Amino acid sequence: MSPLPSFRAVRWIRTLNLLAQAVLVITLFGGLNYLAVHYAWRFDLTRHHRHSLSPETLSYLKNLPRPVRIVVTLTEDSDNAQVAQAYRDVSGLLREYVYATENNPRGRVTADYIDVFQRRRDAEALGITQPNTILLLCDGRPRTIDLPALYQMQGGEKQSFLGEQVFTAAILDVASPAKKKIYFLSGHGEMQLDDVSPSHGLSALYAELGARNFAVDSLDLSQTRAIPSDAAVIVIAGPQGRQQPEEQELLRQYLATRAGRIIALIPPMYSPGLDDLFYDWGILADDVLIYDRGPDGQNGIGDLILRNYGDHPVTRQLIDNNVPVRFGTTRSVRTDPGRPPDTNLLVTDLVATAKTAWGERNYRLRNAHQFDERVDLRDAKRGLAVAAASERVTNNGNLQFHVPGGRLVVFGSADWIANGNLATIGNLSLFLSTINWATDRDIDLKVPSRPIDKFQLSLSQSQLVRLRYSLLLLVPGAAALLGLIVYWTRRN
Amino acid sequence: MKHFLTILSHEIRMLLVSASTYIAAVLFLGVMGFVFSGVLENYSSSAQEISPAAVFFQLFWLPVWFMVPLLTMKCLAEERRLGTLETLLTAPVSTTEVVLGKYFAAYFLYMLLWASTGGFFYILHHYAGDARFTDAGPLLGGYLFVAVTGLLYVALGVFASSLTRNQAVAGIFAFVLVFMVTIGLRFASTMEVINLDSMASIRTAVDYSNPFRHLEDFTRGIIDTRQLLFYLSGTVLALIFSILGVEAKLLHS
Repeated sequence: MSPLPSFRAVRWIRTLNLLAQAVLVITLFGGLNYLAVHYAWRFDLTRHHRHSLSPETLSYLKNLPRPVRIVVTLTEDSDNAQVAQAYRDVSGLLREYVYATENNPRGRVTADYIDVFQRRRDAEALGITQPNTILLLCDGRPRTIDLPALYQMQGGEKQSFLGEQVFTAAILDVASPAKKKIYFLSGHGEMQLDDVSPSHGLSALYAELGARNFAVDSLDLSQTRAIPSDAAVIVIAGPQGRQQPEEQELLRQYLATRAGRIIALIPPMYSPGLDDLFYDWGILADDVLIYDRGPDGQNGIGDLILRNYGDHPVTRQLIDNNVPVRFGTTRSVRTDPGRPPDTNLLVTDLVATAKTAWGERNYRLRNAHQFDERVDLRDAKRGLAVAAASERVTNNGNLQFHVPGGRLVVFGSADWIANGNLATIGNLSLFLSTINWATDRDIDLKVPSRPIDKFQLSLSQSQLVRLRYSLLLLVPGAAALLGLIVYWTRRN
Repeated sequence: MKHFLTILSHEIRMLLVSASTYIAAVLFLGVMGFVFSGVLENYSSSAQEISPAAVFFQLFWLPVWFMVPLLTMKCLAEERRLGTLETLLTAPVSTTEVVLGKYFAAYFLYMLLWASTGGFFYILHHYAGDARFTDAGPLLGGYLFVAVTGLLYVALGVFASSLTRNQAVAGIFAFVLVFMVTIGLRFASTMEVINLDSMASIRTAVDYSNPFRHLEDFTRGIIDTRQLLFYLSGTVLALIFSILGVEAKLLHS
């Protein structure tokens, strides 16, 4: 037998050799890409690194203590162009967050995109029932981001994308172990958190605050005689009786010595017993009932439609989006004209009526009410203020920042946060902005916003036609001409 | 590899003197011009927040599906059908040099066709009067994306051509491969089954290799080494498979 292998055997050995090479190359391909996943670099070649996260955000993410899951129900193929663009903006941004936390084993950020119609069960398991929602979850704690909060608006147009600031603040908030606690006072006929009635209940508001990672509870100062140490905000929602002097004193001490935050919704016709507190903080709640016979001031059932806002963080989003709020029975609440001068006290009128409105002092009389300039209240230039915010700041000498002290916001109506009225988009937005301001939730991150570029061709019809024909004929024509030259040259 | 340049220059010369190249170029540029003018219609009717270059490159798959199979189906299949491949390999050239020479010639033509679409942006710049329409970021990022992904797609086309003697089969197989790597991956990422917890590693792999996600990064001016490595390693893999395929066919012919 010949010691040399046959041609057939050699052929199969070489074939096996080729197969082995193929397997090795596949392994090399898989291994290289696996290594690339863990040892990767991203370079932002744009000017000012527009699409990269800021150093501040990166440092926060590097030390994130817990994993955060972000669920986005926006879809790219939405019929609404704004939602489709928001999807592109949000998905591009979230990719950076995911990449930035890949090497943080404790605090990884993950992003899931769920179509609520295609994956209804998954959405319902997360408590999502509506599309166009962004939900952050950390250890089961939810935090919702509203789509309008992602953009800075001006005149109804998007000016810049605030996504990084909003997402970083939300991630830090939801990953923080402690929830901010909001106490709603009770014991004087206030609106209750477990009341489901449309005119007086706060059950819907309770759910909205829970979805935003707030802990909410009720507090009866006449029982406890003290304000809990974990109180981030005290809300006095529509009291029908007077606060006792000792209760008012507790609230004054809370504001003054603990830099406390109080939101008071004081409807007309009831005296809340907080006059001294309001005086200390430069706010005057008039005992009037506002009427407006103007064409735009009231709707068919007598609710006030309010569009007149003062410039303040609480109202900024309403101003940018030009959204009105709807109040029922309302009193005037304004900067106290008789307050003593105090440079550390900043008082701002937040919401005002139309110029045609007036505050009726004799509202208890049964006759038809008309403006009486001898007794009634009116501001024909600016409208009557129905909400005011007061903030005590401490200016530390030459430092460029103020150390915030207590904050008090007073609204002259309470029914606008009841279950039946909370669905009015401006109402919920106003209350949530007030809560965010009161709880310092608008963390002042030094994160630059991303300006939104708009591209539009301003061409006449004839120019458009010329452009179209240029695109269809010039470049292909040049290729055809080149081909003809080559053909002619070869022929010759 | 000294004969590689000889083969490459020969292939490129044959392409540049062939009438079919120019016919293909005219048709390609006509179709892309039509697409681009359609894109610009939206910009004349209302303001858009995305640059025209980014929208143009989002349709990269359209020419890729048709041009890559057409450019590559003849590469090796025709040579094998005519029997000239064995003759060529009797010369002092290796299979690697032949495959690489044909690959780079096809890639050269692919890039030449894409580069000529730069004329559209020049025309747009002339009419728009706004430099932002031809912002360098999305333009350069888009062309870089085309260049990097073209390496892989042309390599897949050459691989398909190496497996058969029939040009039509090679073309169809190349189309299927390119389709799977483009739209197929995008479709896979939206499937419900891939969102199950047990499919986490497959979901990661699908997301990692989704070219539309890579396109978003490139057109925003972001270069990620993972994406570059994916395409480069994929190209090398496809070319090595082509070489191995040709050698296996020669062994068993």
